[in-house]
Amino acid sequence: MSTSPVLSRRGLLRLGAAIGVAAAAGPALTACGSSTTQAKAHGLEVTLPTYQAISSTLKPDLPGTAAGVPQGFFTYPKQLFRAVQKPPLSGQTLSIAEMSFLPPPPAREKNAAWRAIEERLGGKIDWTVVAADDWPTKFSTMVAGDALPDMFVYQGGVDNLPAFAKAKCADLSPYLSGDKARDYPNLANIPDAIWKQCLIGGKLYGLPIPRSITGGDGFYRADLFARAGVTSLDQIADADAFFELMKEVTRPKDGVYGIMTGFTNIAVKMFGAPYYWQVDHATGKFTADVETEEYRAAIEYVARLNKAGVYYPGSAGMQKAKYINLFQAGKAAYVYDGLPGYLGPTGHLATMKKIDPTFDVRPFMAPGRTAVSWPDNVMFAMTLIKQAGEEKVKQALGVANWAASPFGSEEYTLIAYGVEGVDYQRDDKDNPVLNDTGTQDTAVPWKYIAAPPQALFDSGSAQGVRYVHEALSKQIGRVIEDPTVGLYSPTWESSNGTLLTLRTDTVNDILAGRKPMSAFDDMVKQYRSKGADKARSEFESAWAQSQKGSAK
Amino acid sequence: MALPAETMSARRSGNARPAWVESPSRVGRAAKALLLVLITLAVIYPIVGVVGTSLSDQATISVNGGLVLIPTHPQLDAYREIFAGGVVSRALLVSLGITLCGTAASVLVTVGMAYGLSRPEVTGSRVILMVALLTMLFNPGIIANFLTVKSLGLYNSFAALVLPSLVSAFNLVVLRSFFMGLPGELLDSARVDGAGDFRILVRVVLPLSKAAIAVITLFYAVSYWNAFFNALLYLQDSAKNPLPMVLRSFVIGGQSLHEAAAGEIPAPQQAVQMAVLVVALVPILCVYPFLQRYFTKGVLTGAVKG
Repeated sequence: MSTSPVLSRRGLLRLGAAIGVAAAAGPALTACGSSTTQAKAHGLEVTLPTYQAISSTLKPDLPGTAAGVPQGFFTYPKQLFRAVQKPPLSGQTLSIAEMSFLPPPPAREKNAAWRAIEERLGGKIDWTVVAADDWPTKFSTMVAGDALPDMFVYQGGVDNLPAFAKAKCADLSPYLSGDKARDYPNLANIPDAIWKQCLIGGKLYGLPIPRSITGGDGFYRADLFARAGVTSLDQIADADAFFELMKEVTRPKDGVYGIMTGFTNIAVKMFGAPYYWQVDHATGKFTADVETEEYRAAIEYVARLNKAGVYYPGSAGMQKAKYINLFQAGKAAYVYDGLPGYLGPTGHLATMKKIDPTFDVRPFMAPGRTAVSWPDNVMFAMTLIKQAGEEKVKQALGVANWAASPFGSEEYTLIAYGVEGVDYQRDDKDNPVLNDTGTQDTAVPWKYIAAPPQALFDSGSAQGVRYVHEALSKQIGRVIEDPTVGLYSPTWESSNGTLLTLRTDTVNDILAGRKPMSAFDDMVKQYRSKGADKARSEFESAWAQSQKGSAK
Repeated sequence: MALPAETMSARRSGNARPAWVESPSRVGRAAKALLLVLITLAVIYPIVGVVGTSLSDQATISVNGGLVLIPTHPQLDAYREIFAGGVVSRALLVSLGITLCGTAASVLVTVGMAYGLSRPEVTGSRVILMVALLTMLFNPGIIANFLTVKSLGLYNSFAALVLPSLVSAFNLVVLRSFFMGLPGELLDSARVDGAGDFRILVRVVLPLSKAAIAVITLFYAVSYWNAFFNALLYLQDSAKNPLPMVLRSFVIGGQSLHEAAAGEIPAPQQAVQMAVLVVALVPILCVYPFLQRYFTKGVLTGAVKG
């Protein structure tokens, strides 16, 4: 959630990138303001791609919804369908730079999946694959040095994003706006809520890599809850009931505690606080989350939990690998990790079953009538296309359309599992199982060019798929609005990292007992004066602009 | 001078302790032994832990809280994962190539430059030295370096990993100082015998400077072997990545994912992380014992001559 505060190497690079963009963009930036302080707030100025669900013969075991609940599959489809009939390239080469979270893949000549995909694409892809932690440095240098490839992932790193997009990136509105999206059916299969996040400065620049709308509320041990008499999360009526339950499951003598770490945001959701900002639709007034009573009450509540000794000692300062290990080893009843970490051969479900078959880990859902969910995982990131002629942009869109082929298609299977017989085999239930070669070959980040709406699948546990589907159904049903989507506030862009650090530090001090609750009120005053008030007025202005646009 | 009889007898008996020093008490000896054992354990414990964890599966690692000393079911999966697909072995070749070629080129240029700058008769040598020293004090920065590399047409080439750091000002100063310490008469007599500068350098200066050259060779080799940042900035084709970049990607995994997407990529298996540590440690462990004395010499060379 937080980004590194000011004077870091990244900060310096961002400055460099800004200078590079300014130097390269020239007149375009003059119009937009050539520095971050002159950047303007922006609202919606474009028609989103018309949604058109792909009709296939696939029958999911659990249905999806238009709101974003993914389809669930207990087995992998036996009959694959072809989602893209005509190769998007005819012998050309595209350069793509992506961040990667996996070890580097084998080169093309040793990678059957890579070659098979290029054959389907009808051309070559020259990849620059950069470890995700190093991506900000690489990206900023590419921007500053005017060495951007044809397509690249964007996950932050430019101070004046609208100016950067206008100067360097292809505006996709003429290609995807409204019914024009039908030329790219797999991209048209992506819902509006996700496309909205790809708007920059009121125009459509990004190609989405969709996720499940919300990242979930972490995981709990149902067996430990059951031992305390709670067999369903619905039995936990409110925050007080959860408090008592945590005290009940905490048994220091056995080395077992209620909460491992990461519960603060869940408590904030439990009390119904907004996701960064909320807007009053009648007046257009924005309120920051920390200004709400709900947020303050949640911090008080977590401080009480901490004082009651239900947290695993020292877990607040642990690195993720350490506290996940402890949770998986049975040392706590609750831990926060994103929902995507549950299924699959290395997910929490499979790993904990190996450690102790009695461990019953399930997705947690913040209890209570006031609980809300946040749209904090709508998409992973977006891909931008470098400014180029119409033909090149269409080629890039064609490649993105190919990469967004839905679950169960031949294209999706090639990306996720590689080539049958080389990278994966089908098991006795016809589910694809990656072998060692496949694990390596599929590390090429094709799925980060663009992606289809997510589907849930785990060949190892139908019950696990049910749990995640149930959790997402409930949580997507109560997702609150993020009013800033599609709006741009230069102040928020440049100062939210500092503001988040300010509040995180204060909250941590309060939770650790180093500061009283009154420090929270002081922090809110600072939060406002150090950027939130200015960001608020920019968002309000952009909101008003977008309301006018949508009223036309 | 004759030694006192007691000292003589102590030497004869193999005890080097002078007679006026009392022999240590048993408690003192035991305390020293205990201290040494504790220090040794403090060094060995993490190494055993790293090797043990690299040979374990994730479930065992979780149960043991992240560090396994003695794996119950040793396996080589982590090492297989690292070496499968030929990515690491290719990166190893790249790193070896860069280290060998880069070190050779750097030593050659540094020796030539240091010799030139060590001769007082060379016009402008102090100015040139100052310019070289300025690069140590004022780095032009990442962006300026990147633009220079790109404009020279070196982007995405192995030369970009060598040329920008071809001469280290520190090594240059160390070597120049060493050359200046050589007796001027020796060089003069070679000149009287009819030797030119090149011959003097090759036949006189270099044979006398083996230790200093060994030191800077070592410094260059280590810096090229560990080169990571230049590769990150100047290489576009991932297949050209040297070993440090590849190993790093095994270690960091999905750590930078934002909170809500945190589970999207499984955290790197700790066994793999530890196996990477072992892989990175082995070459240094093999070479270091033989080169340790040069490191010491290097520090001394730099310390006493300015």
